[in-house]
Amino acid sequence: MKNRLKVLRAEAGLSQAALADRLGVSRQTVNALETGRYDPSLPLAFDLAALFHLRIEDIFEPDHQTSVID
Amino acid sequence: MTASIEPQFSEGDRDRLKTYHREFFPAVAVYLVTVFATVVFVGDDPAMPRRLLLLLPLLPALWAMRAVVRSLNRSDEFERLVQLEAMAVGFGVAMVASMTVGFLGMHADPNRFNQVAPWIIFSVAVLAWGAVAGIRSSRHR
Repeated sequence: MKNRLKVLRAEAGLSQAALADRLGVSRQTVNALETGRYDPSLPLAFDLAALFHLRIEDIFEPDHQTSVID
Repeated sequence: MTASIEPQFSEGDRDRLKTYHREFFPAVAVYLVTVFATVVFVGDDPAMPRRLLLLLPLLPALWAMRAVVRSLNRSDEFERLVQLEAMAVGFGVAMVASMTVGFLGMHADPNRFNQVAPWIIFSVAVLAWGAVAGIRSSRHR
């Protein structure tokens, strides 16, 4: 998944370490999320969305679109 | 304000690392002392009740294992994934190493070989675990 985490974090004026402490994860995890090497679990994605006052889909975008059931 | 140079650890990382060190290293210290004590005081070929003392280092080894498990429980979902993948590789390496020393042992002096074989398996498995965890973690520093 692609994400806007790095941009959102910069806009909020947070370092990776500060964001990690707010989320209760390691700085390494924030780095892995920002670089797109790790997709978060749903609870962590919800925590991120809540922190930035956004919806999950405003932060994360799937690499490919799944076809919709009619 | 965004830091120009990212610190390697967050406050939470430091706390978790400190707790791990506080729990793990005393266990290793006691393990080394008990190994030394059993080698010196129990001897090479003791009688049965005394031989049980050779198992004494297992207690601090279990203590160290408890520290690793507790550290795993404190870690977040990504760190846990990295550690569990590394442990899986370590386990695979242990299986291959077991087969290797098993085949080699067929044609070796059994007494001598059986003494070193478990330590070879243990060492390569732990090294593989540490190497994979280190490499995977270093990509996200």
